[in-house]
Amino acid sequence: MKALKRRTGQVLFALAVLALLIYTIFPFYIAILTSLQGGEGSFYLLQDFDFSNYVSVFREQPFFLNILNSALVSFGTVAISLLIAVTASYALARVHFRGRTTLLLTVLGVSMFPQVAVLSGMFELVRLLGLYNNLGSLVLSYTVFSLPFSVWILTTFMRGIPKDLEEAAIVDGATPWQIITRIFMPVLWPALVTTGLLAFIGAWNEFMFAITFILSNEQRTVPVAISMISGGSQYEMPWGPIMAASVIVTVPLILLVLVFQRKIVEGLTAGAVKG
Amino acid sequence: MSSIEFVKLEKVYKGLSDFCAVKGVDLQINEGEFVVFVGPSGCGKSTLLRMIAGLEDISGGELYFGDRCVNDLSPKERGIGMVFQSYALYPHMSVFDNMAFGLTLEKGSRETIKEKVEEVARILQIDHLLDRKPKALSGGQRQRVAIGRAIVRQPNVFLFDEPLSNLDASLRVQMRIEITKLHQRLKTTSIYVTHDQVEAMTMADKIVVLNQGRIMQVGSPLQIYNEPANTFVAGFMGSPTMNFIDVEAMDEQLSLRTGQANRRFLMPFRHSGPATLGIRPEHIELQPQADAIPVETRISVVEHLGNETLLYLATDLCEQPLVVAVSGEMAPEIGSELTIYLPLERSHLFDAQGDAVKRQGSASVN
Repeated sequence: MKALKRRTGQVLFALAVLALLIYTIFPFYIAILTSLQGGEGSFYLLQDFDFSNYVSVFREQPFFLNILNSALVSFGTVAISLLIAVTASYALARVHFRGRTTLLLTVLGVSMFPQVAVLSGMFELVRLLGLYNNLGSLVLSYTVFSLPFSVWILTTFMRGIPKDLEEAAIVDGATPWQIITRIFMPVLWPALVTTGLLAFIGAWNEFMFAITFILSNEQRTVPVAISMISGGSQYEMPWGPIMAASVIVTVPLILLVLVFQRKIVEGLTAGAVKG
Repeated sequence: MSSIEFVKLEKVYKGLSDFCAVKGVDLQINEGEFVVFVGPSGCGKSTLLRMIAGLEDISGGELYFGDRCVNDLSPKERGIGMVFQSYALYPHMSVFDNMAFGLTLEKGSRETIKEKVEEVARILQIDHLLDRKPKALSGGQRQRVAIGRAIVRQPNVFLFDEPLSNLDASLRVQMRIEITKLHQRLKTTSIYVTHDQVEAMTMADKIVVLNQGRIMQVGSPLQIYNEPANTFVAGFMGSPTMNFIDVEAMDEQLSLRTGQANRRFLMPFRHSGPATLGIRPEHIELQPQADAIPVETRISVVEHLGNETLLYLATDLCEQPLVVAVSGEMAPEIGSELTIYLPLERSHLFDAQGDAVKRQGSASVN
């Protein structure tokens, strides 16, 4: 009786896991499936390996250039926002000044605004700086949006670093910049990877700013380029090439996450830094 | 190496209500001396150390290294080495890099850095650990690395901020001896902060007892023990703590406030008015003595420490039980009566303000 009970439990658990797996993986399965099917095939089962969609993605538009643009914008965003976030969080976590908490709360408050709310203002800013139809406009706006989160996370981590560590470095004769680069950044490595990766994903997948600030095909980033893929007629949605393109741009992300997986977990779970 | 002089050193923390952590401290530390700052937590000893280090701004007064005023100099310019309570080793660097960090910032050549680090590592017997990361070291080894990091730049002054408080008891004794040996070898002026009076007594050339931001007494360990300047020092140094009994003094005579209030004892002090008689637990006798005050007591608690036994005695002299240290073989019964003798020759007298009254001549029971 007891064994039966345990058995039923195991079966139910397995079913629940299965349901969850199907639920999460099914959209990706369909995407990959669709991208590999040339003509009209079964919607649910893979019948042939046909890479024509992949070829067409690169033939029909400057997709390689779009990927390059996306990479440029994303890496640029990560580099700039990490640099600013690290220095800002050092000040916010370590330097005592009036209005520190207010500033930190303002930073958090700013990140509450939806993208649409700042779109027109951001557009004016971009025009003013002469960055319209330039990748710089995207780096600027993505940095603005990734900074609050990065600053907030890094400040929390920076606070977790023992004060003694910093003072030991001061006694050793290190300048604030040396303390940040030689002591704090190596110690904060997991947190940096986590925030950097999140900023990267945000920039890589962003759509609204990208379609607003960029005009020409050659300057477009991947999400916009995918949305521009058109079929034979107005009424035809070219699912095959769209899915192929989506799979192509998701691969780098998955690779990045796999490479840094352990660091991300450490970064998300480890609160303080132990000596 | 250099001598250090404090002139009216002050530290005020500005806030809603200003908090004065160090209040006008004057002190002279000679070159090569090993000075221990001791006091209860919150007495300002760590703040004082951090002011010497340059990690804490000086709010008032002047600090001299030799004849150079260092008030506005950075820790590096002052040439100090510091060992932190938490070791504060850089977790991502090897032992070698930890020790070499300060030297690399000074942009010394690789060979000289390697030479210096290896020499210090040999002295501290950590030369086989140079490639390890701090997390792969034991507490004692980490402590050595922290000391090594401070030594390797050959500082003018060594600062220790409760460096042994994270170690277990036996290791603490061992490291204590090693730090003393190291000081004898390097002869660098050292300042050591602790709340542990055993460390203070065993290591110091000079003890500075601090309380509430003020210096209570400065002196050699035995001076502090034998001639405490006030009730605070008398009560803080020595374990178990000194017994205090309220008495009435009239010129050279002393009478107890209760019990045998009519009896007068001749004392080796000259003082009049209310006073406090202090006597250490190890100086109280169980055999009748000349020049001693006999006191009837009842044993309330017995603590066996092995080498000695501590008796807590209820008396009508004071509310606190009197503590007496007797030999370890004694096994008295709780609740039994015991007559003890307080030898006036070995006791201390403090006036109403708590300051010690100077001793004079010998005394006899009246």
